[in-house]
Order: sequence, then structure tokens, then C-alpha cells
Amino acid sequence: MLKRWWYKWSLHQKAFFVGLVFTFFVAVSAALVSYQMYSRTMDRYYRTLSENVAQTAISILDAEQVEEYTEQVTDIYLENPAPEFADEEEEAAYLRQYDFIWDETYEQMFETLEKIKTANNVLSLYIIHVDSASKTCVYIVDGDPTENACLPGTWDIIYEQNYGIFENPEQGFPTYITNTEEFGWLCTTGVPVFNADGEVIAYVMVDISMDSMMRQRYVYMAWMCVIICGVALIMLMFFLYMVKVTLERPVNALANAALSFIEDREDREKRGAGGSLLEELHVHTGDELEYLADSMKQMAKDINLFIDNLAAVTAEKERIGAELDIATHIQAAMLPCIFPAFPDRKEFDLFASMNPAKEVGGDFYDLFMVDERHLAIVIADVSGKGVPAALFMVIGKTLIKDHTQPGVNLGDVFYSINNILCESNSEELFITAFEGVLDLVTGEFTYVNAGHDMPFICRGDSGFEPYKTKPCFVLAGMEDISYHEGRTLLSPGDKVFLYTDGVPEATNAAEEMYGLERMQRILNENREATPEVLLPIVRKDVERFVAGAPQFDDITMLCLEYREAMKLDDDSGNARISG
Amino acid sequence: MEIKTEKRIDAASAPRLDAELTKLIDEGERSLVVDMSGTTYISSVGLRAFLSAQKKMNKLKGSMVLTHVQPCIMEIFEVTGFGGVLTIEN
Repeated sequence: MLKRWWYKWSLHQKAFFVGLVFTFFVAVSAALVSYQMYSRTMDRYYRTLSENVAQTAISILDAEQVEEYTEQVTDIYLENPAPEFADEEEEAAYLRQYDFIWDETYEQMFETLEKIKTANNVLSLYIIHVDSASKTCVYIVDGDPTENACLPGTWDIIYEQNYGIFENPEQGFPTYITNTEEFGWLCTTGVPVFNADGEVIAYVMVDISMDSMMRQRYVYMAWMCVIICGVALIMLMFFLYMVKVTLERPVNALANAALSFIEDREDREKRGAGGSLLEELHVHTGDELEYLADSMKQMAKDINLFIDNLAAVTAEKERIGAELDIATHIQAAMLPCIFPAFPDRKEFDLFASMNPAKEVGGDFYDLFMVDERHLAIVIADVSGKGVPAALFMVIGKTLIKDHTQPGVNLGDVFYSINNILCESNSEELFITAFEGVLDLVTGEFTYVNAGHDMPFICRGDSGFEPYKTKPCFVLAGMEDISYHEGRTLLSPGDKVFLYTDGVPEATNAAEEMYGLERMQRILNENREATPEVLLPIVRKDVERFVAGAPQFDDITMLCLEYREAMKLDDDSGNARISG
Repeated sequence: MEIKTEKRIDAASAPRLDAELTKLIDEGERSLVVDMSGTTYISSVGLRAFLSAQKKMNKLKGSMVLTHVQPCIMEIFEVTGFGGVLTIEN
């Protein structure tokens, strides 16, 4: 029996994992994209802001003043660019050289820068001069009133990323972002200041701290993740619910209905209700599942119909089988099968047997007393097999027995029978038949042969020999055929052996036939045996020969032994029952 | 029209012979020649097929001739009396 937990992965689990992986990728890519867009927007904002601040400063400052102070600073600085100091005192001494710069105009410039810086919430705003020889920059003025301010003459190296300034001074310092321990996240821009001749004399530098923005960016990122994950989880749950409603439930309902289809059917049949659970299933998903359910319903209907038909057909077959069985019994009962058939007659001994190949056979034999002194024996074979042959056999057997009357020529008997059989022979069957009548008083054996195999007669000690009779045409083959009666004389002790073609034509696995020679040999080896013993011996010999190969034809044999002449009652001239 | 018969005309092959003969006669064949040189066994069902064809031919005033009949088959024809009903030429 199929179990429900047969599957390794349920649809639910599969949907869950697929949904989870899908959600994960969607969430990650959504977070990345939105973070990227947010970062870009912010970067662009800071770049514009820093450039604007620098441009504002340039437009307010007097370029001539800037040039003048730049020259004053560089005059000192370029004498010994990028000086190194052993201690703070040395540095202080160096910076003191520039103290003379602090005049009124310089103070104004300083204040202007400081105002712009404060107004725009900029970390620092200052002017530098770049020395391409030493790859350094020197501070001219820094709008910072605190002690962190870079005093004039303070120098700094130029980062390698900004080396473009030496070849292209007009481009200034394009906005760049750095993250150092000292200043944190910084957005830096430098815009060149030109003199009247259009030469770059200095750069107005703007540093904007991006620390708070960076913190915001992480917060934004974290919120993004939380929201996206939350939404994704809700979506996933909805997805799983949909899978359950539209897939799992109908599929499980179908599977259960299919699994218990036969049980269910039997149960309903007991209660007298038709149909099955499967046929009453309601699946209205409007998709392939509904199609599958409808197909299964149709299949269930068809199966129910088929089973009902099959049951009817089987019952019919059983009925026919039973009737055939009865037919076989009736047929067997029609043949004389109690031996000795005439226990009170000691003048002769008789035995006969028939082994049908199919349920009902076409062979038959008969033995009856025509009158007190005449014994008739008949053996016949109807062409064909099965029920038609059996029915025809019944007609033939009855006709022969009816028409065989004392004193009537056997040729005439067969002539009449043949014409009657021809009238009712729509199936075009025919019968080969041999009938013999023995006069128990004189031993005269009259016979007629309608296309049947020749009999074997054993006379005295000479053994069984084929007795050549004039063959006439089969019965029921054609109308108005004449049959000749033959006669011979039997002496007490003589035997007549009749058989159908099932004996010589019994075939073994190598397709060899038993043949008349083998039959004659086995008859002669046992010629002293009584008919009752002789026939089973022949039958066994045939069986040994075919060695289990299927039997194609009925095997029928009859043996008559004429033992002694019947005594006549002298007075009346009639026969009397002896013994 | 000449036809050849199979090696064994038994319960299995006789219906084919019967159908073939019936078909030829129904199609108007009135002069049938049956070459039996290849046949070494004939059962009663086979005899029935020939008898049925012969009866039809008799009614229609046609003819059916069996040729090259093997001795073992000839013996069966003689024993069953078919020799007197069928036309056999060797």
C-alpha cells in the first residue's frame, strides 16, 4: 500500500525553500541597488555643495589680495620647501617667520573665509599654493579661529591621486572622498584662483565632514534591510498560503481519493450507492490542476463503467463455462460407459473408451443389440471440434441407432441417414462412421464404412490385420450417396478393433505421428488380452509416444471379442437368451 | 487459376484454405486447380474445406481439380471416400 509520507520533499517544503532563496536574492539586490542610489545621490550632493562653497569664496575674495599674500608666503616657503622639524620649538620658530603677514587686509580675508565656512557648515575652508617641484602645498590662509587652524607656512603633501594638478593646474582638485583616523570621512574640493593674467595662483580648498552622513547611511542601510526582510517574509507567507490552497490541498485530495478508489467503490456498492469519492471531488482552481482532477474524474467514471461491464462479461463467461461443463457431462453420459455393457451375454466381450481433446468432442461410439441375436457396434468421428461437432454427433448417433433395424441392409441405413443429415447441415460438417452388426449365431459380420479408418481384425492366431473394406463417402457430405454393405465371417475367439484417427495421428513433440504400424504392433503384442485390458494398454502406449505433447484430436477405441456362437432354440427358430 | 496448398492442412491452417477457396469462387472463378504437391497432412477440417468448395462448384457447373496429390494424402482421400467426390488428377 502506498503511504502518504513516501515523498522526500513535500510541495510545501519545496515552495518554502524556493521562496526563501528567491526572497533572499530579491532582498539583497534591492538593498544593494537602493544603497548604491542613495550613496550616489549623497556623493553628488556633497560634491555640488563643496564646489559651490569654493566658488562663493572665490567670488567674494579679491584675487589681487590673494596673489599678494601668496607671493609673501611662497617667498619664504620656496627658499626651503617641505622643511622637517626636530621638535615643536623648531616648528614654532619656522611658523613665526610668517607672522608679519597678519595685517588688516589679511584679517579681513580670514574673517570672510570664516563666515562662509560657518554659514555653510563646512569643516574647513582655506587657501593653498601648490609647489610642483616639491609636490607639496603650503597654506596661505585658513578660515579657522580654533587652535586646530593651519597657520600660514604650514605645508602638506599632495596625495598621489591628485598629481594631475601639476600638468593641468586649471582643473583644480576634483572632489574626492577620504577616510582618515584624524578627520574621519572627508569630502574635499579645490577650485583654482586666477590672477589678471589668467594664471593659477592658488586654490580655495573646501573640506566637508561626511561623518554624520555616513552614520545615516548605515542607519538607512539597516532600516532598508529590516523593511525588505519584513516585506519579503510577509510575501513568502502569502506565497506558501497560496501554494497550500491552490496546490497542496487539491493534490492531496486527489491523491487520497485515488488511493482509496477501490475501497471507496466497494464501500459504496455495499450501501447501494453508485459512483465514488473521486467523482464527487470539487477542484475549482481554474488551472491545470482542475484539468487533472476532471481527467481523473472521467477516468474513475470510465473505470467504474469498465468494471461493471467486466463483471457482466465475466458472469456471462462463467455461465457459458458452466453450461459447457454440463454439455461435457451430457455427452459423456450419452456414450455407453458401464462395462460389461451386457453382463448376461457370454457370447461376446466388449470394451470402448473415448478421451476428448477439448471439453466437448466430436468422436463417438455406440453398442447396442439390434435384436436378440444381432449386436451392433458403431464408431464415428465428426469433422471439427467443440460444441457444433458435439451437437452434430448427437444427431448422428441417434439416427444410426434408430435406423439400424433387424433385417435392414446397412447400406440402406447409411443412405437414409446421410440424406437426413445433409438436410440439416448448415455448418457443412461431416461424419466418418463405421458400423458393424454381428450375428451371434452364425458369426457373420456385416458392416458399412462411411469414410472411416479401416478396422483391425484378429483371426485365430494370425494376429491383428487391417481389414480392407470398400470405402464409401463420409456421412452428411453430399446427398444421394450410395453405401455398400460388406460382410465377413468371424469365428469364436476373433477380435475386431475399431478406432478413430486420433490414435494413428497422435503427434509427439518432434511432430512424428504414432501411425498404424505402432498400433498394430502393440495390438499384436497383447492379442491374448481381453478388450477391457487391451484398450488401456494401447492408450498408455500412445501416451508414452506423445510424451506430454498436447492432444489435438479425440482418441476413441472400441474392441469386440466374439467368444462363442449363440445357441438357437430349435422349436421356434428364434434366438433365446442364454445364461 | 491455380493455387498451392500448405504443408499441413490442419485445424490451424484449414480456415485460411477455406477462406481462399470461398473467395476465389465468389469472385467468379469456375476452373480451379489446386496443386497439393507440398501437402503431407490433411485433417478432417481440411477435407471439409475441399468438400465445401466442391459442392459450390457442382452447383455453379464449375470445376475444381486437385493435382500432384502425395500418396499419403491419396490414401486419406480413398479411405474417406473423398476420392469418388473430388476430381483428382495425378
